[in-house]
Amino acid sequence: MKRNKGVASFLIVIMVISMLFTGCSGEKQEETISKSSKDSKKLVVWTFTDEVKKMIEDYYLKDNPDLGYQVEIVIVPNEQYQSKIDPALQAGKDAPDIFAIEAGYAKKYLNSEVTMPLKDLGIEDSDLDDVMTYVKDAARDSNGLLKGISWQACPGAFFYRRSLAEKYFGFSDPKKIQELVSDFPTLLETARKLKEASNDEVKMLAGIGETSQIFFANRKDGWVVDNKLIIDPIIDEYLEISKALEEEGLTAQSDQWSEGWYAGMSGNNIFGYVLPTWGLHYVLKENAENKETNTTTAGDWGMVQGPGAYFWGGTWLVVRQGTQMKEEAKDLLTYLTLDEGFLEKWAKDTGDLMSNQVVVDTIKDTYTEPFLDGQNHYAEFAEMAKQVDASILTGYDLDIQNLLSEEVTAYSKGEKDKDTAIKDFKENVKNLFPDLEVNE
Amino acid sequence: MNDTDKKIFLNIKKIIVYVVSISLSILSILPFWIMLMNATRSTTAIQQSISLLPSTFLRSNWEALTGKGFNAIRGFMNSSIIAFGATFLSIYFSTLTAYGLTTYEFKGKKIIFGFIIGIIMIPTQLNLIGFYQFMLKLGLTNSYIPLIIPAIASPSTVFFMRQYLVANMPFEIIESGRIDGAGEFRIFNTMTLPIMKPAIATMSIFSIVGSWNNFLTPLTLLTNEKKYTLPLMIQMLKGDIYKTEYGGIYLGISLTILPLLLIYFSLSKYIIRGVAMGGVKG
Amino acid sequence: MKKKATFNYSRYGYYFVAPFIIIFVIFQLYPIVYTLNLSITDLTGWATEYKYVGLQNFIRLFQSKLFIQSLKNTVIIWGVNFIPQLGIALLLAAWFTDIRMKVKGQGIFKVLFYLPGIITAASIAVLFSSLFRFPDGVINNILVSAGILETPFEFFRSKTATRLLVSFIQFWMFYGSTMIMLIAAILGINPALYEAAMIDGASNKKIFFSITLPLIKPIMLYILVTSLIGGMQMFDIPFLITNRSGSGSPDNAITTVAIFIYNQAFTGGRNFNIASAASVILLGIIIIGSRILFRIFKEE
Repeated sequence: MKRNKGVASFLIVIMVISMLFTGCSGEKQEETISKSSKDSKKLVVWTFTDEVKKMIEDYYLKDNPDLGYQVEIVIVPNEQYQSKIDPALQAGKDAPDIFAIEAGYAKKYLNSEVTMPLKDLGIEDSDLDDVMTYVKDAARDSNGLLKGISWQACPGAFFYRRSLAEKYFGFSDPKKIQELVSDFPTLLETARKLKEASNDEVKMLAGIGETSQIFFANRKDGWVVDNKLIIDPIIDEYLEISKALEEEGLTAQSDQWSEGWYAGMSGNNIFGYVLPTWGLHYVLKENAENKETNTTTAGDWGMVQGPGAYFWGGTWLVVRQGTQMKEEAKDLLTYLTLDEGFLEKWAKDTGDLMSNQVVVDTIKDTYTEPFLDGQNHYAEFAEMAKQVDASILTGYDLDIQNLLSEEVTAYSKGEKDKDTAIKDFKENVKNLFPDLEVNE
Repeated sequence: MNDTDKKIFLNIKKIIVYVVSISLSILSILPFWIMLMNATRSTTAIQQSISLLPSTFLRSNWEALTGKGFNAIRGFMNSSIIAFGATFLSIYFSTLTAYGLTTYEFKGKKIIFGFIIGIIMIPTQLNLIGFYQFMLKLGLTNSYIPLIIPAIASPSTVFFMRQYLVANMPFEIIESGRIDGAGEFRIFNTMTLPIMKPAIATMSIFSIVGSWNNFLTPLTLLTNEKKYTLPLMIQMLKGDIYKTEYGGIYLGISLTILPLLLIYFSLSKYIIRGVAMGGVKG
Repeated sequence: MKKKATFNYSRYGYYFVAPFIIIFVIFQLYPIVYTLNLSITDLTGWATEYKYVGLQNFIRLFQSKLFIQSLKNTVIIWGVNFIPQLGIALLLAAWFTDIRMKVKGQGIFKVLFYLPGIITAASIAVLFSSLFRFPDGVINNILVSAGILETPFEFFRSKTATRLLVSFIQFWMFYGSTMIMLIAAILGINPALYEAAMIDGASNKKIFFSITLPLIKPIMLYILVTSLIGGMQMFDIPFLITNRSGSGSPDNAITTVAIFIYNQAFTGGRNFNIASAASVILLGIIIIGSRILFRIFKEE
């Protein structure tokens, strides 16, 4: 008898739970069948950092308290972003109304049917006259049709530690530091000096991945032209510089985004980082504090151009073709990217470089950044942004560059010779994108 | 002489056996212990060393974890819904199928049983692409239906239940039930199920654990973060949002494995017996 | 009075078996057929329509260095895990069932040995990838400060080390269940056989090799086949243990077939067609592999 009771109660518990579940799923099913209609008054935004979330929650929603609908923000880490958003876009269910795309793969979405041309939203090219050219170029599809906007521009720089510069070079003035890193051979020389002067305690860079964006940005052609993989001659220099850095022990051997890479920002063992605009406020500032020792490197940083002009990343916002929330999406998109009031506030609060030239011009001359010991990075970034050329972007960039970096690592660590590395790189590209033409 | 030699030899062998067994036991526990302890330690300390003693950073780790959007309770609920839903269906319908196969004589019975044995060997993960595309067409990505309903057809559970039924078939009870005028389903629900209790307990645990740990299927089907199961949330912890918060990461992992540890240690008797019966393998 | 004797129960057989069959057909059989179908199409990327391309995807796969590599990786990682797994499990099973030794605390040992098998693989992978990090992971710190290593070792740049780590985790997770199954099988052997052997003065070793081992062959076959199936589908640990999930780094050393399939379908050009073809090949390998194992065990 007792036994039976036990089983009965066990089954009842499971039954109740599964009933709850079937109840839920029943509702969900209806939702998919009748699609939009009643309760779908929800604007869904997908993004890969918490930046957009902050912008919406702390600015947009505060400025628009009576929206009459919910804004749901879904954050998926960059690493899985594409493999998560693609099925959602393809299914059209639980899909975002607005989603963020990054320079490394923006074209993949822009050149597809899943994104809506801005003019279908009622945003004309003339509305974007104040937006920097490269920011617009990056958001056009293959026919030149504008499909997205970004609030930011992302030229890149080299950030270095002033105290370390003072200690080992005897000066920390940006102009003089720039001379030490003006091109890669010079940077290599400086790295050697630094290693010697610091008794191998301070490394020039965190790892060999650091230089990659500069090389990538200075290619002449995109990774894929006319459906063909193009390996720019500059990649050769990239391989050689990486090998030299690695073999001579000039880096802290930490990959980008790894623990050691972050730790160096609050420690004293890494001289500088190659980072763009967002890297300053989103990465450096956030990781400058060492919680254990209660010390911070804030105020000890300086900024120079480094070995070459480049841009890195950047978040564009696009509207999904087929959204039921067109007007609402347009309203949010316009606010986040074209509303000068918001852009100015955001720029002042974060130090992020805006894509809107008018806003940039208003604030650039009065800006001082305490994190950079009072340096006006804004004016400098604004200059750098003018040199950016987005014409080499393709939808394959992020994937291809990830594949290349594996080979660069293997080559610099002496695991492979150069020919093998290049051969394997081609093989891997061909594997991921069988439709591309890859020269043997 | 020979006898004492043998005794000494046996004792030495015994010592070796215990040393090996205890070492392996430690090897089993240590990683979990490290994870649980790390959940209470500071990120810097975690990066520098292993500690077997707790520290005092539980609260700040909790803040780091939840501050970046890790909703452990939601993940726990999601995983529970799927694990319990799938388990209930799998157990109930597998028992039903096994009962049908043992109690009744009908045409094609042997073929069906042979078929069920045959499909035990089919690796479910190889369906992945077809399954995914099919669900995409049905609009069932991001739904729990594809994660729960297919559990109704669990060939290995059917096999296990059948083996148990063959040995413990309550024919007299079924007969007496029929004489009392009870319907066949009623007999199954009220008389057979209770007798199956030990087998149900064993297979439930395996099913819950298997479903709880399932990674690939939810990884491909669930795109909305709010529907993520705990293993998917662990993968999120690995992403760049958390990279600097090791204390938080370990707390998140600890939260996901604690329920498993509790279930395991409280029901280990059934589990070990189940494994011994050659039922399932992890 | 009803005529009980002629009451036909057979239709209940169909009722009771029906849910299983229906769900199986919809959620497993149809997807398998669908996978087979996709394997001969050109479905990739955003496309929803496809046309048939014959065996082109299969030809491509057999020419693909990476696919062949992923097959090799899978077999290597599985083999390196399975052989010691079976060895240790057999040894432990022999010890624990040794009547002369009477090992105490077996219950606890079994519970502890099986423990790793129930824990979410994702969490284990995260733990290991952090412990073995370079240059400042805990293991490196310990090895260097203990003087075992002079400089930190980059575990995840060494193909051998990375594969070994994955194999080790697989071993660690599953040797417990293998051992428990073997013990059950050994205990199922008729004790009279052992008694007779002991009266004959046979040594432990002799008893093990001439009585125990031959009689637990069926369960060994079962273990081997299930392990093979599981091993060929290995995904979670190698997917999560690298710095960038699924990259198979270093140099695709731990790209298993399942990871290859996942990457084809969900990253890059999203080649559902090639992923499907790879699934079909893997399915074929598993079926043939199991067949061969059955053969070998039957013939001996």
